[in-house]
Amino acid sequence: MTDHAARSASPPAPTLLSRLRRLGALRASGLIWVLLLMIIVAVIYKPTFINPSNLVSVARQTALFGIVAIGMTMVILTAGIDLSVGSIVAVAGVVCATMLDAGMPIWSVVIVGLLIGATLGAINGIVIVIGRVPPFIMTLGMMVIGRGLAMTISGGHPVHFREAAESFAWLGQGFLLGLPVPVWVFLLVAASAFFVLRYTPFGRNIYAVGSNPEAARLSGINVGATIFGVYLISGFLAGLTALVMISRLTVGEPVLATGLELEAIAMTVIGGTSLFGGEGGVIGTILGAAIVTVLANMLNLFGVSPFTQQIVKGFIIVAAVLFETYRRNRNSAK
Amino acid sequence: MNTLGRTVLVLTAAALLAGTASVPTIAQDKVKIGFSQGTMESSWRVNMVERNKKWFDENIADKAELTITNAENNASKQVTDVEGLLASGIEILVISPVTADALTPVVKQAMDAGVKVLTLDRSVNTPVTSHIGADNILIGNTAGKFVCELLGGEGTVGEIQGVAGASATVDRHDAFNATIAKECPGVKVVADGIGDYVREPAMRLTEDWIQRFPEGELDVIYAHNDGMALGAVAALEAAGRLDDVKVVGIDGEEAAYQAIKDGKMAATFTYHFVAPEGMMYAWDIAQGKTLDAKIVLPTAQIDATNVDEFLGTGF
Repeated sequence: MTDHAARSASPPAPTLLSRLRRLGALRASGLIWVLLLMIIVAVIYKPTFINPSNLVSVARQTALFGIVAIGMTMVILTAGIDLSVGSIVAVAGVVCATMLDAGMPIWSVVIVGLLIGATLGAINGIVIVIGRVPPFIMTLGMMVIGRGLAMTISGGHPVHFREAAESFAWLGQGFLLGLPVPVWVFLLVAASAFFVLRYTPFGRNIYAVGSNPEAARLSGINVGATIFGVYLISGFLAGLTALVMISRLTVGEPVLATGLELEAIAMTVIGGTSLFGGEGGVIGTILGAAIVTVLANMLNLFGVSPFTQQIVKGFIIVAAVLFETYRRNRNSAK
Repeated sequence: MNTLGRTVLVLTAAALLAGTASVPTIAQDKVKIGFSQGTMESSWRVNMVERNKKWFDENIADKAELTITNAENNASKQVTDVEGLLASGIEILVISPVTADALTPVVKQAMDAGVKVLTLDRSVNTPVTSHIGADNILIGNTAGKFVCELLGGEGTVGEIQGVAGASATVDRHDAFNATIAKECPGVKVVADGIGDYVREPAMRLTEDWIQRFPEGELDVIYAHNDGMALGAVAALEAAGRLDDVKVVGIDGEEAAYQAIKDGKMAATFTYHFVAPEGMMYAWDIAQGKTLDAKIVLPTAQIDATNVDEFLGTGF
């Protein structure tokens, strides 16, 4: 869908201004106003929005999908896409739930969950880089394979483990310094990704590969390793999300996180990361995740019909991309 | 036939017979039954197969032979499966089709060839020997009546719907709302959301509703399946609102029975597995009994009063 367009598009020359914009600094400030406006509207029409318990709930919801959206951002920055994250969450989820139910130690469950995510992500990366399969196709395949794996492992049944591991619940349900633990996990992931993207060679390579893979190759960047790296990270973060989600739900369902990939893509795109690669960043995605979650929360608080909610959500995604395209055209016309 | 070979489970009764040597062996040929399952990608479908097979093994394994195929939610594979079963000479075809339209021609072909056909849960567009299924309208009505009684004719309900537009969702929604409107107009559905039959979205939706409705303003959450009901329970429990909001589900998941036993859920309504009835009626047909063209299986209401009888029977 986006991949072919991405490869054929010619990105703008990297001026100082566009470098700043790439880092997401300028766009992010615009998104803050959008988010603030939404919050003001929400508070005016439904003052309960600002209740601490609602804000905590919104923060937790943002975090749960946001972790995967951070990985998605790094993938999309290379002009790729990862459709397999929801299925990877399901595979890691049912395996970890099965282990917990069998009474295995929590540290081993955590390691296995993260390893499953990283491994499936690495497989995506290897086939995309060495097999030259377009990311859309490879991760679409992995999405179907992963869902099938999750169904096979669980036999199609939800895997309950409530009795087996009460202490595991802290990861998804607990609080630390007044904030839900998943929010801390999200902030840690986002801060790490921000640091990597801005201050490490790997991070700069991600932008370079996304802007112009040929130029990146000619300037000595290992394009293959960079692309492999982002899919590995995306898979790893899906494994992490699986741990947080099953801890919160106390069950590993093979249907877990169905459609998560689309939510994560929406959060990334609304956050201003270009599907053509090379532009955007983590701060935008944090705001994008917050905007998507606050919107859903508002619509539920207002009592908007679920069918109308879908229409509104769709409009917002299209509007975000329209705005992005308009901005790009205006810039390239200069 | 190659693809068939991969997925077919042939159950020979030889081992069972060997174990019960005192039973006089009947020289007569065994009745060949084929069971074509459309998909096994849900707990409920897996149970449909497992429980029919269990009844078969325990009751008629010495008198009949059962072949089970799984079409993996692929209609054209199911057509091939059925053709394979017919070629193997089955006398009775038990089928739960992926879609009515795609499977109609091959089922008609089976009927024309004199094979008795029993459709389970989903039907086809051609006359068959008999159709057996649960009825979502009946379930929606029963759930509506229960909520009326639970609230004493006055109160508020939040409804968590399944996949929007799916026939089960439409029936569970329409029948429930129609019953409420007729039997207890004082009960209002004040919130409505979509949970896609999955726990996580239902939990998020409930978290938002907990914020929208202060204590005492939402009395019941009616979820279109138990997974979503349990998601609602998890959110309510975390917010300390479980005493305030009662949760009702559908399907009959074991975890829901446990939640009812623990006082966390008010009730659930079973959606019949069509098992072991599928095999029982197939055996009736084999013995020459005539069945009604359509058999509707009942739904059981499981609440605090009778949950002990059901613990251990859910999925």
